[in-house]
Amino acid sequence: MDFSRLKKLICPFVVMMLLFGTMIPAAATDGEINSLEDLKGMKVGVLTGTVFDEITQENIEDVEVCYFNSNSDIATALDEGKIAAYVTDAPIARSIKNAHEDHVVLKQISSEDYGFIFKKNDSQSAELCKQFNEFLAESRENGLLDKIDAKWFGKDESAMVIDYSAVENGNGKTLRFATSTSTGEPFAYMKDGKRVGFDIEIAVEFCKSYGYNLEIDDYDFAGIISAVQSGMDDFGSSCITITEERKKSMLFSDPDYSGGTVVVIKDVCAEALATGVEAEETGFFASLGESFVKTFIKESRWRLFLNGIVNTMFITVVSIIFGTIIGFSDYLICRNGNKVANSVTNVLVGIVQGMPVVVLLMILFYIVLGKTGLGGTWVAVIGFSLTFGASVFKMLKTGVGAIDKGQNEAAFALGFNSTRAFFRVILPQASYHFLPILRSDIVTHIKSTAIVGYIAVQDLTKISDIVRTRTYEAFFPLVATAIIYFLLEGLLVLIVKKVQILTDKKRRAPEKILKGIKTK
Amino acid sequence: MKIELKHLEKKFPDAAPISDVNAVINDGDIIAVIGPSGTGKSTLLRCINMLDPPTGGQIFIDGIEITNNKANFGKLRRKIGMVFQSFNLFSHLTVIENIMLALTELKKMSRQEAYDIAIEQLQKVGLADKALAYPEELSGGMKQRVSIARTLAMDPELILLDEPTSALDPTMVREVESVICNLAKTGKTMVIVTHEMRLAKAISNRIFYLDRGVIYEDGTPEQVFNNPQRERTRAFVNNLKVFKYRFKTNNFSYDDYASKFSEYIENNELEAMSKASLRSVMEHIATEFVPNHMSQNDTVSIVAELNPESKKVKMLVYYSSNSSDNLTEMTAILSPLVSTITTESIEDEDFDFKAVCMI
Repeated sequence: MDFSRLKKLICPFVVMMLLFGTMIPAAATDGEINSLEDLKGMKVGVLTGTVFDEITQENIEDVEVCYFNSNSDIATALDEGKIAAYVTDAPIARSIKNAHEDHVVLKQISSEDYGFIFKKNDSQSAELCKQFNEFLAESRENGLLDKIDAKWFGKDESAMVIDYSAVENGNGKTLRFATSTSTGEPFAYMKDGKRVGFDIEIAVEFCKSYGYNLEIDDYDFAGIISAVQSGMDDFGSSCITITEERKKSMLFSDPDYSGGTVVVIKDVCAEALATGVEAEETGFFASLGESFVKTFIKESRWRLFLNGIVNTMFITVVSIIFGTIIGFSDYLICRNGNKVANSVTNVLVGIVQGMPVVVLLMILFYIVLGKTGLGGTWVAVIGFSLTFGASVFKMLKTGVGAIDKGQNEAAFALGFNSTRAFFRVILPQASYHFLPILRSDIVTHIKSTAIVGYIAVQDLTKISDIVRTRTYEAFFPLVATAIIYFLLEGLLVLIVKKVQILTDKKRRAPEKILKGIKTK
Repeated sequence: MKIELKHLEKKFPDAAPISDVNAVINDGDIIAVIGPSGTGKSTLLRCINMLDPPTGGQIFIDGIEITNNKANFGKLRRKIGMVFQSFNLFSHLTVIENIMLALTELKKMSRQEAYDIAIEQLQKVGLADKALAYPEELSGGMKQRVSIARTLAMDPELILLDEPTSALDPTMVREVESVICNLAKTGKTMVIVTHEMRLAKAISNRIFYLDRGVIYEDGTPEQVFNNPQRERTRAFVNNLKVFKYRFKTNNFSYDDYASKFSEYIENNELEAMSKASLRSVMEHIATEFVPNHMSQNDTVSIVAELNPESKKVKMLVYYSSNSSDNLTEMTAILSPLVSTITTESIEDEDFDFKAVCMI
């Protein structure tokens, strides 16, 4: 792989992204918005899995709801003019304002209570919930809750840390806690590579006072509910609004926080002011540098990215190895036309390839392997091994099918048995047909691992989501992530090409062919 | 190696190329299998080394039946070499490795031993300088010579050659044929399927003429080529162009008959004179003899044989009853039209009498 070619590919892409990013004007808001009536017929953004869509439709007439997976995406969408407003919790709106000064609250439309969720109709969970409510009541009396509130809603950035030591290596039972650091400050977010926030500290304090160990699983917001319902996690929270409808499917604790729902719009005057000032003070490259510092340097976020890369590569490489073993052994079993093996394989390949990988992963994670307590990373490895195995199987079938049957006959006529003929004569020739396909499959494969965030694995894509939730900046982290993926793909392709060259008999030097033989 | 074939039969879902083959191939025999296309010559060869296991009958090799013992056949197969029409060299290996592979893998020789044998065989076919070339770099003739060298390197006791020159350009046929001629002198048992009659005559001590799934004629090359005993053999070895028609009753369709013989006459290269006389013989039989002299239950069959080399046409008229009146009539009708005519009585299932005319 020559990297100059890669650079040639990436550079125009980056330049184009930069141009588009700065040139496309905000379009969705014509005219000023002064009241909820002005939002009629417009697009309003909400976080997937929250109750804000309902609240929005109740309060704003004839509105089109757009769903996003993280609050940073919502903030960016408002900046880009893709939505006219968004609806979110008051405290979250406040923290978004730290990064986007021109986002202003139009109106508070309801007041809400937030609580922790537990599995419904389960005696153990009910017991746990009871304990938790006791803890809340106590904390309210002894002032702990107020202290936590003051800490996370205050201004002292240095105080906003959580001491995990008491819940990490204790002797007690381990509770699994589902949360979503994509929700954002101050409830649950990433800081200095650690999960912090109001909800998380309450979970930690609860475990501390009852002697539990705590293990945190990080999902998308919508994933928290599935994880608790399936029993994957014991309890969960990330600014979850208590509603009557949700109470039907989940057991809620008493409220740990009361807030409200607000509609946020972009203040046109503030924007004009801000861009005017910015244009004078900071040039394009300076702001790029600033973004770089925010995304990678601040709070050592590069460590998060590094972790994401390690996770992405681990899942990709291990599933490629397992997938190749699965696909290859299955092909060997099916090779001689064994009817049972072939029909079983066909059904399995059909199932694995017939559904979106993300659905396969969630079925494995929540249903098939839900009770085993296997972590998301290993579930991802299993899921991707299956999909890669299926494509290796098909690749071998195609590759071997392309070999003239005379090759087999010639080997048989010389006295080779079927297995030897396959390994010595057929497979080396078939590799010319399937190795190029394998190479492009690997690139597809590494890209498709970007969905493992759905099952609480912090891969590269998920990390970029998390970082964006902190910086409320879309452009730089996304482009940086894209470039990192390019480099990882380049690396894997480089390795496969090496293997291809090493196994290619036709590329051997003549003196190697007769190595160790005396020729007269 | 001695091979016995007993009532050998091979059926495919949509064809039965071999219906009943019986033969004994003695040690040292060199047998050329000839016959029209699609009569199962290649299938017979592929049955002998079990590439296409027969569906019926038995094969004995040196007295041991192999048709009921497929499991242990692998070792025996090493003693039977096969040369394919399409060469089937292993395209991922060099010429020398193509030959060495089976020696090191199956005969467990060291690479040095294998190399020595391989290079010796390559020298015999005149391709030692191509040892490190890949098959795709070779001409068809060279590929077939390598394939023969690969077969010989295993030191087989029986060599099967399946139309070894059929896939070659005419310019390359000779180089492969000369290699096969040398091979024939080594005294190994060989069975070769070929369309090259010249090659069959030159190397074989026995000819199998295969037709419609059976060995129709089995004899020495002299016998089969110069004095074939049976009609289809004769037509085949002389490469005769044959026209056949059978009159069953006297109310046959003249138009159908006329269009068939016209097609035959026009499609074969004949001098204008012969064309005219052949046409008039054909017409006279249908218009004079059949309507006037053929009785209701009789059958008349005519066979025209054109020898493409001499351009001569031989006409055979078979008649199913030996009535002397009819014979005289036929001679009277035909003799003005042909150069010679002889008549004779024959003993056949269908016919009692035959007239042979040269046109």
